[in-house]
Amino acid sequence: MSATLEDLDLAAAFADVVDDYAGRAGDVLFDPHAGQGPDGDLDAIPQLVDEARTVGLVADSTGGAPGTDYGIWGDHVLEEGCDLDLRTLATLGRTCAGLAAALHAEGIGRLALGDAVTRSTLIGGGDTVAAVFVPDYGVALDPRAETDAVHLHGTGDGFCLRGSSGFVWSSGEPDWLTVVARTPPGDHPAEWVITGVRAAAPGVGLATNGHRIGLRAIGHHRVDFDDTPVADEAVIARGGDALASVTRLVACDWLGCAAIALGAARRAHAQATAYAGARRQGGRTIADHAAVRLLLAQASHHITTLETVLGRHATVPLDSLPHDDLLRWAITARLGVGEHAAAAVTDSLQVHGGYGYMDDYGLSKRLRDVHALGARHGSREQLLLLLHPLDATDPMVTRGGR
Amino acid sequence: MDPTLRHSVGLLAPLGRTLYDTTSDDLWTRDTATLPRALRKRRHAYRDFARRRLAPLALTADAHPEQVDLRPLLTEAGRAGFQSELLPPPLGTMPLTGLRQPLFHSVLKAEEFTAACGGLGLALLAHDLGAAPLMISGDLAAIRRWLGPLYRDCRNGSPRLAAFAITEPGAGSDVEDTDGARTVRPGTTAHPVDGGYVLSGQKVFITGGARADLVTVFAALEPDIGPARVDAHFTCFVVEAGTAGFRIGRSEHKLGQRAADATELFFDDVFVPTANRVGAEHAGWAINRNVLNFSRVPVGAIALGIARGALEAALDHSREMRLGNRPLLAYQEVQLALADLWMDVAAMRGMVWQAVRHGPPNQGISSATKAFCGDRAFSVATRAVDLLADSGTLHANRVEKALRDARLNQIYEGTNQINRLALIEAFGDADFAGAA
Repeated sequence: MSATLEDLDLAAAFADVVDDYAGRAGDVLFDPHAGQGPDGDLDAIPQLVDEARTVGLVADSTGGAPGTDYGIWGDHVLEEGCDLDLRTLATLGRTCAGLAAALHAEGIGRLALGDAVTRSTLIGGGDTVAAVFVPDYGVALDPRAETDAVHLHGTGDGFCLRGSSGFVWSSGEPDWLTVVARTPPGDHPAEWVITGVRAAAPGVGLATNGHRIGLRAIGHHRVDFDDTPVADEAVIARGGDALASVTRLVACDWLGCAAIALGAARRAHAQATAYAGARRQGGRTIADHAAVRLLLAQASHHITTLETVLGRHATVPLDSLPHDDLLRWAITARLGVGEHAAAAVTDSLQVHGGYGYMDDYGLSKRLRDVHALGARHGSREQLLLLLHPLDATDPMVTRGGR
Repeated sequence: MDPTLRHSVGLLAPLGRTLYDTTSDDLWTRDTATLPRALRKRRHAYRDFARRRLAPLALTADAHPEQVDLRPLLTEAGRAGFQSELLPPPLGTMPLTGLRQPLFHSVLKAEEFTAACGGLGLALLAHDLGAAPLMISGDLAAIRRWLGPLYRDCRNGSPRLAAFAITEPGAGSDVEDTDGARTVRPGTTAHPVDGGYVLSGQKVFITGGARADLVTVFAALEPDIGPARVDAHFTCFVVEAGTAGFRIGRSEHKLGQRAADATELFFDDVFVPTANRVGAEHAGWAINRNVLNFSRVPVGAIALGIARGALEAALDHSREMRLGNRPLLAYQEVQLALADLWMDVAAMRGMVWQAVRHGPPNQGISSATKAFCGDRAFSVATRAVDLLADSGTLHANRVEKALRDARLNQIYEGTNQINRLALIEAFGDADFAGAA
């Protein structure tokens, strides 16, 4: 990348693109006269994803499109940090967390594929790409999950994949699967591998997961690999390089979820504030009641806290952010989805009383969506257990300060 | 029990051995054993019905409530005596323990039904709420005229349902709260005419309203002078389905407890004869408030049941799902989380069972029980979803449904904020003296 965002003043321009897109997407998804379900017009998602590619929201779009570098989780994160991506996802999450998560998943799928040259040899610009890295239970980085992962086996004449992943997110029906794998248990030294296959390759079983709590705009699949052959050139990274990619992928996935949840929480809070100023109870607007003011203030406090967490390293280039710091930041952000975004949404829903529980007001969807984001890739306990060894090396913890 | 410890216990003197509980019964069995015999039998009967009839339908009833025919469930529940428990024999099927503690069997039923399915449970339990004003009014004529035949039909396998209608489009909390009731302009009014009253207005979010055969509806009797007030002029009436001018509107699409409808009811100049009035004119506010006193503890038990269902689902999943080569349940951090959920459920049950031991319910205790259990249930269900991580978001694994179901318990029967204030109001001359 030859110039920074500031040099080109692209950040502001990109934010305008995002705002315009989010506004149009909201109009399409939630046309009040169309009588869709609470998740909006899900049939419009493919069209909206295509439009996102066209306007450059998807990283590595077709040649020459503005998103090549600046789309969500594009190459700029390495040299400029995640600020743009997190802001973009928060803006989209404000409109529809499911659509935001779909575009986020597309970016995550491409993030681990390395540089643009490597990507161009493996995938087409219009391909739908998904990352396969979430084990059936828990966190990929949990050492106890080693046997549960997808494994890359050596065969006489190459490599093949075996194993499964229960929770693969995508922006639609995937064309390409970016796979985070390990060498088989028993191999020493065991190592991480980044590879990928076409979704239509032999030995790939792709099944849509059933009904779920939220984020219904995303593709949501279970993937099984049954001796799926892998081309040599599709083994993108191994060992330390692969670990760096895996860490980045996992961390950015969690950070993105937190940013989307932040957007949903902001929208819920704004709705609740407006409702509280209009609805009357006991002869006054409900905003005049301390009980409601407390709810609104709590929601605001939670949002501010999550904003602070997300801003912590947002402008630090990922290339220069130590992996432990990146992971610690991402874990804290992902924990913040449940502790702050979901809390802000549920407080905002409560302000609406019975109306908040009804689908018409949109709060029920936001609540479902933030809980889906808050359960992404690991339980609270697992994340905390990952956090501790990181903290054990953190000078803030071990020496009382940096 | 650890074998070494069991051996050591065996070395104790006989008295010491009797003081050491070495049994391995689960909490449900232990709690049930503390109940009087009649309630023990009911608790078993409720659980058997819930497991056999409600649990298998739970996921379908949530995802596609329109596909589930409630009539066979209502018929079987009615024949089993579960739909006629507000009155003792011969009119009803209340256990005799109900004469001193009228809500104990109700909370047992609520927990068991909603542990199987929050929505189906509510669909069955709403009938008790609809019938409650008839009993709570103390109006023997109304009890004989309405409740007796209703209960007879339920027991005979031709169930007829009641629904309770107070909430109005512009007044949710106002019709459940002293301050609100003083100031809000009632949206449903009753105008006296020869031989009865004409009711006009609209009610919303009426649980069971779409299927009700009769509705106990509260309307403000229009005063001769000045505007009508909820607290001063509320009067209770029975309106039967099919009455001219009575219309059923749309049922809401809601986040959870989806098998139970929440429906709009319209009263377009509905004439009801004087015999349809429940209790005295202007006594509706007291009836309404005491219905809430009676209902809030079972609503707390609904939250308890939903939380228990979430815990049970999380436990099932933790036994089946493996991390590495061991089931989740074998990991200490999973055990710690599940222990938290178990303790929350046990604490909720403790509060519910203690609340119903007070005899006729008290506003403060009922409201506190409802609010506490509603908040804890949402917390338990949320934690269960989180513990299962991505698996917890799948409908088939039941905990996300529990989360959605539990969220309603912080809202209906008065928001939990209103219930906290009702607690302060009730004990304003006692525990919270000086608060007024």
